[in-house]
Amino acid sequence: MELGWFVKSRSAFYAVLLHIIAAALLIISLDLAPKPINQPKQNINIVNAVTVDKKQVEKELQRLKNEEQQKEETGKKRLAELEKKQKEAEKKLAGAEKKRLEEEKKAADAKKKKELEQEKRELDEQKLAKLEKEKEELEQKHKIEEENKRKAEEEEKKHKAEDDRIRKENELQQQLAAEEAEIQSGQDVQLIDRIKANIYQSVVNNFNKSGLPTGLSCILRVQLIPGGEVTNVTLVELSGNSVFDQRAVTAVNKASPLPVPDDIETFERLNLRQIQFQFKPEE
Amino acid sequence: MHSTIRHINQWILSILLFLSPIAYGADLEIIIDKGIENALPIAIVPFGWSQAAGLPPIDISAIILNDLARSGRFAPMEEQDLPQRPNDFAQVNFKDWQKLGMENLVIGQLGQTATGDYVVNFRLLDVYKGKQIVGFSIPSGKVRLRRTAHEIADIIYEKLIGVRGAFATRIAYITVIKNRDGTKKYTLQIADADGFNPQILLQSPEPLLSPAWSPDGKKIAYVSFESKNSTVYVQDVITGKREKIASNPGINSAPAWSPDGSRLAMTLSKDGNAEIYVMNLSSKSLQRVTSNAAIDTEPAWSHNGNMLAFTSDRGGGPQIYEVSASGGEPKRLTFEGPYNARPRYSPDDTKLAVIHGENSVYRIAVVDRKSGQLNILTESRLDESPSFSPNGHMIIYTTTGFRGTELAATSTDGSVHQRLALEGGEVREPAWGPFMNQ
Repeated sequence: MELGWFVKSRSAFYAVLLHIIAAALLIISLDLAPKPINQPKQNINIVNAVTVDKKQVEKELQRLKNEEQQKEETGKKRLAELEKKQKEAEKKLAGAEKKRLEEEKKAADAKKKKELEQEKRELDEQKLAKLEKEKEELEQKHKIEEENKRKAEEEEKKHKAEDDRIRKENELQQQLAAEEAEIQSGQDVQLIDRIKANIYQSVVNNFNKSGLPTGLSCILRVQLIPGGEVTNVTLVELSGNSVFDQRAVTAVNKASPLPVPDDIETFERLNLRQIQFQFKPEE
Repeated sequence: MHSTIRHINQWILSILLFLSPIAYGADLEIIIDKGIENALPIAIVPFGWSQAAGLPPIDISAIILNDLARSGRFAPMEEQDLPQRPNDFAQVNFKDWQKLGMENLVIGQLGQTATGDYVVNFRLLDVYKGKQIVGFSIPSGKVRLRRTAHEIADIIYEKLIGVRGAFATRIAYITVIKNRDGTKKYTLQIADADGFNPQILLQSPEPLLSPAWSPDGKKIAYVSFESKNSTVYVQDVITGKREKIASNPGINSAPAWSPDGSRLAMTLSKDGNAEIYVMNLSSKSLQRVTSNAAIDTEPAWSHNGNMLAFTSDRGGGPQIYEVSASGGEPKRLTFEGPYNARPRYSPDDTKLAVIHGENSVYRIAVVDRKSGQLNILTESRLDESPSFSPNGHMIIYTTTGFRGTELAATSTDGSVHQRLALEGGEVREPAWGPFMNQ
């Protein structure tokens, strides 16, 4: 549960962080957009050549003179007209040029805009891809965490089941042991009596009370290992006569290994690892 | 985490088993109400000797072994049975000794110093514990070495029996040697408790009797017939200087010291009949203790100083009676058999050693003062003059057989008897001296 909350809060934090990064990048990218570049220059040149006869030319010239005059006049007129026309054309051309330039600029602008847009789109796409990738990773991570969590829960469930099983088994064993013990206890009482009698005789045979005063008593705690070997003898109650106590200790050590059942299970069941001896010889 | 749970489960299981109605949880309890009464097994390894050249002046371990064996409380291992002969602790293989049921081991070394003195190192070891019980390094000298060996035996005895050993003590006794001309030579002697180092204190052609040690062991009171009539003397053991204490007409006999050494109980017949008297040794004043037509003799002083035991035939035959040291009505103590005489108190005053006679057979017996129960200790035909060792564990006495009269010792329980071979004829009236504290 704690883990789940932590994972969730962490993914939320990541999402927010990513959005902030994206927004920041967008702002920076607008500032960094490239400036428009200058238009290319245009040059236009036109040349006309003509050859003619002299008389004719004169006549012609005259005529032409007349004509020319006329023409001149008309020409002047026409020129004026032409000029006017030219001016108009020029004017028109200038308007067209301006329009073309405008259009060109417009196109360049459009192109530029398109490029910017493209750039921005690409950038956005990259950011998106990155975001998506991060999102995917986050999701993957989350998924793994979920999986782990699920696994842990499953494991715990399994352990609990196992523990339950063991407990039940133990309970059953206890019950069985108790039942067995009840059956055994009758036999064990006899067995213990027999073991006690054997150990008693073995220790008595090694307890040399020669020359000791009467009326003394001491208590020994004796540790045994399976097989009956005495591993430790402790005087837990002194008689007040150190020689008496010492003879008692020697009696137990000398009687080692004490006669206990060979079978370790019986040895353990009858709790023979520790025996208490009271040395209290009668007169 | 779940393994802990498992442990707890097992723990609970064991607790449940522990509390189960069969109650195996309690220790098995066994009461040892009997035992055996055997001499203690002990092994005394021949002591090492520091000088490679030459033999040691004495065999220390042999002296210790003989002392312990003579007490009857020990069963020393025969030398040829020793599984190993270690001289120091590191060499001891305890398992080897345990296999043989050997409980105690004595090892040691005799060393000689540059100045010619001796040092005896010994250790008493508990074989089953694999530990030293006691160990000493005792400086000694050539003359003292036997004494040192006895002192070691005393230490061993005290550690394993629980009562101070009495091996480093002395005995006093009378010897009688028949001369070729038919006359006799009597000597008063003292010797080590094992009979060694005899030393003559007095020689006389006339009988010497009843030596008695003063409680401090510095003087001996005795009876001498050197002036034809019996006389009681007190003689200094070291200086040989002696003092005549009682030389009254008639009997002057059987001196017995009070435990504080200030008074002497004696049998005197100066008033017509043999009676018990007490003399103050500094003032020489006499106090009569008994007053009876029968013979009252052989007084013994209880160690608490309160009582005197003596032999009296006031009941028709010799029996033991007891009376307050300040006088009063005596009380009969022995009732078994027609003859009980010459009482000696045990050091704890609970018993009396006596000569018990029946059908002309005389043996050493011990009488319980409270119950009057009598326990015969010896088996010969003529055993006399019992004397307790200062620790009360042994009685020295004389026994008369085809070889004459010899010294013998028995344990107080009668389990061990040993002859003490002394040179030079018949031995009479041994008296076991007190502990020596120096």
